[in-house]
Amino acid sequence: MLDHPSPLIDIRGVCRSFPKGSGEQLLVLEQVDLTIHSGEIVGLLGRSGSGKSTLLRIIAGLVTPSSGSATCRGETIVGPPNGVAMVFQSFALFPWLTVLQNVELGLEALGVDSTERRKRALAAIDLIGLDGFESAFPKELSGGMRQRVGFARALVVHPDLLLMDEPFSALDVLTAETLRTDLIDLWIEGRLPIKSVLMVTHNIEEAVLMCDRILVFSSNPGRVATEIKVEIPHPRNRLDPYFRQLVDNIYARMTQRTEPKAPSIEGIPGTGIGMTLHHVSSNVLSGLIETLAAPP
Amino acid sequence: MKPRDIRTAAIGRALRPNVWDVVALVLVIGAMVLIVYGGEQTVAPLSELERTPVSLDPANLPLYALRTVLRMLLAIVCSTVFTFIYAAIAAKSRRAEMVMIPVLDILQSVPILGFLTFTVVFFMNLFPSQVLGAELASVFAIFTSQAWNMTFSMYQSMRDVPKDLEEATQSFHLSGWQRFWRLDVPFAMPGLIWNAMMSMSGGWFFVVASEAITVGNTTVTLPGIGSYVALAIQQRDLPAIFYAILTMLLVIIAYDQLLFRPIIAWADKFRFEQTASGDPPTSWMLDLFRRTRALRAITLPFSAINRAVSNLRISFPALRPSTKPRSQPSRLIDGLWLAVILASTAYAAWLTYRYLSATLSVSDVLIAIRDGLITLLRVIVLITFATLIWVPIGVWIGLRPKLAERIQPLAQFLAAFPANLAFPVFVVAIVSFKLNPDVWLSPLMILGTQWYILFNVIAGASAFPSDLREAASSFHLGGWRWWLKVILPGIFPYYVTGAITASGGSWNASIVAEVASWGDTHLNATGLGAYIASATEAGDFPRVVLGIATMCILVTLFNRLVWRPLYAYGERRLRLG
Ligand SMILES: Nc1ncnc2c1ncn2[C@@H]1O[C@H](COP(=O)(O)OP(=O)(O)OP(=O)(O)O)[C@@H](O)[C@H]1O
Ligand SMILES: [Mg+2]
Repeated sequence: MLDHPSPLIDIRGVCRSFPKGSGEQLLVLEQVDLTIHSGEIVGLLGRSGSGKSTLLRIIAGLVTPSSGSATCRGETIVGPPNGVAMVFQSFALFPWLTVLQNVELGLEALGVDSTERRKRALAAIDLIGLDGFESAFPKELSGGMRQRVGFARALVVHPDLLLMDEPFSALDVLTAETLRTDLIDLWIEGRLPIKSVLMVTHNIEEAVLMCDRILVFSSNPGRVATEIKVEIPHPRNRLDPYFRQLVDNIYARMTQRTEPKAPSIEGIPGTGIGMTLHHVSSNVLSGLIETLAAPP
Repeated sequence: MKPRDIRTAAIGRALRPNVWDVVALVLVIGAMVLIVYGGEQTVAPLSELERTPVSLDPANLPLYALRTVLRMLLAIVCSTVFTFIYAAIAAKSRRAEMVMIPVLDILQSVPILGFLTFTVVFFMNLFPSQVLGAELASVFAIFTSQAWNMTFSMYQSMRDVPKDLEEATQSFHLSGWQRFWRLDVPFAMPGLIWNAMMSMSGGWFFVVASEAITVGNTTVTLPGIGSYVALAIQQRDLPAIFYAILTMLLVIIAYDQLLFRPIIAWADKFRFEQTASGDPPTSWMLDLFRRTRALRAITLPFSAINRAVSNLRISFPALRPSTKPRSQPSRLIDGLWLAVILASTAYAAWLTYRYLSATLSVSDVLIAIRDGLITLLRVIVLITFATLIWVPIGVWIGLRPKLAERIQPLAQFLAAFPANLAFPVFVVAIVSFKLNPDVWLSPLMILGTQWYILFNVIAGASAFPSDLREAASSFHLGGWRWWLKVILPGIFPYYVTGAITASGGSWNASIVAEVASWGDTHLNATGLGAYIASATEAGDFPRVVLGIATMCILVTLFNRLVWRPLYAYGERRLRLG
């Protein structure tokens, strides 16, 4: 599957900086290399602000790199490349267009004639499980359904590469899970008219569940820290020990400090002022306190 | 669940022609006949006007109203077209924007009524001895009162298009032209409609002033409500004034019901929100259109054309990408462009100076400035009074949505009320009580414009988040503290918007309001408005130019030094959400 002659996307030594308010430049991406071949799902994981979205937008042609080369099928990316479609975290649906019109939008831009356009749009809507809602407006739909429209809109142009920026993070756990499994099922059955996927996510399990390859970003500035291949066959089982181990492994890498401090002399190694605290929500903490305070 | 089942059912029912079809058809054909009739009148030779002078017979009023309505309709169409072109160019070209937006800002403060003098002469020369010239001058006057705020609103919307939608259009390769029709125009629609409604109200003022106009020794009287009112004032005919007010009321109601309600109800889908709001606006007229087959058949070609037009392969610059790093705009071209602008500005300044200095001296300039300062004082005092009265009332109404809904059309009518119609009351009162016209003519200036403050305060108070109100009441904030800490900061940006419009309108109105007449009683207040009005009447063009220029400068300075900083402060510190 790898070692294709001409990769779909090839990012070499890309850097990108943004001007800060104070006039200096904030380096967001530094020397990033990334190759995407046909037929794979690639995931980008990393801390907030590590530049994942920026990288995705460079590939989408919405942002240009400050230096380095970004090519799509061997051609330098200037403006959105052909055959690359994007699913937005915020859905980015046009509130004044119906579901059908939203889905047809990309085809209209390509100049597809109206009967063909209608046929393909209906097929995409059908595929993504939205039939019956063609003439509804986005504001009449739930979040999960809106994101389905976002998928249909991207799929209908039959892109070679589908870019997704945290596509499930605006949805509740259950809806996200349904949509995820629906998508993976369609992918495995080969019914999706796309060749590869690049997705940004914060959810490690999601990445391990869906991706063939996961790139973990380090932050400040963003760089590819590690690349992990996931060689579990689909459909993947979250309870599978190997799956769990992979998730824990990635979790450890992501939470690991960049330069671990020398353990303090006294006390248990790893504790003390330099200890990394796992993220625990205040709800859980107050629950713990209540449990401790409760009579035994 | 199929949410749109209702609509398909409605279509199915409408397959049989129904009584609505008949109603609708009569309406449409009637409208067409009226337009053709009105249009025929405008190409008549000018002598036709003298043959059938305007008469005060109320039986003529419906026809006069029709002529006036057509003029306003034509003006709003022109304004819309102008808005689309001007705003699109300004939003899409950085170099054009440098000039176009300040120009628009100045145009907004030009006293249009003073300008009338030149436009009438210009258009009359364009179509000598034809009614068309005078008609166009009138339409142009109305246009100049309507276009600027619409253009500003559209430009602002185009700059504020949501980033993710902008990226979606880019990502899906929409051409600049497609993007304009699919993203920019729909997104700008609600603001544009609101501004068009405000413009329509404001337009009445200029209709009345522009239909009967005297420049030097030429007097042109176009049949219409405006000239009817002018004649009624000249002949001291109170019943006629009353008829005119009644007709205006009816026309405004008709405009509201037949044009604006349906548009608002239709445009509800363009409101940029992700969740459906409580109850969407409704319109019987729109329902009629949706329910009747014949009428829908009329609209079908339009939507097909719209779609075809928006998909035309026209190359059209996309909005300059904000995401891409600036590919250094060519310094050389920028420099050249700046040089061209500076050169033409210098030339224009020189021309103006030469023209004015030929006849006017420094003392004339000083008089104009003195008069300008007097009018400025009036505007400040009046706006202060209007603020003290209307802000509390507006808040009180705005917090009661049901009431606000009912007050809205009323305020709209009052905003359309031209100052001339109040002349009888003021002139008679001032003469019989021997009052000082310098003081007592002033309220006429704000008669029509104070409502913008009310409008906007109501809008601000109704948009005030209810959770903040609840939070305030749960902290037992009351009395003065509630006003100062809760509601006034909340409505401040809205108030400033309203006050800018009101003060701009008052400057304009001063040209009509500082000289009032009733029959052959003429009252004159000292001020820049009276200065321009008398210069116009005397056909003294250099003084008209001087007066207009002075007013422009004063209004612009006032906006820059007072309103802009206030507005910026409100935007920065007090914007909710
Ligand atoms: N257009 C821009 N102008 C200025 N700074 C930007 C711009 N876009 C991104 N940045 C900065 O770049 C950094 C990385 O942003 P990016 O959105 O790529 O992070 P991310 O990894 O996607 O984060 P998250 O997981 O929170 O979405 C941030 O510090 C952000 O402030
Ligand atoms: Mg991001």
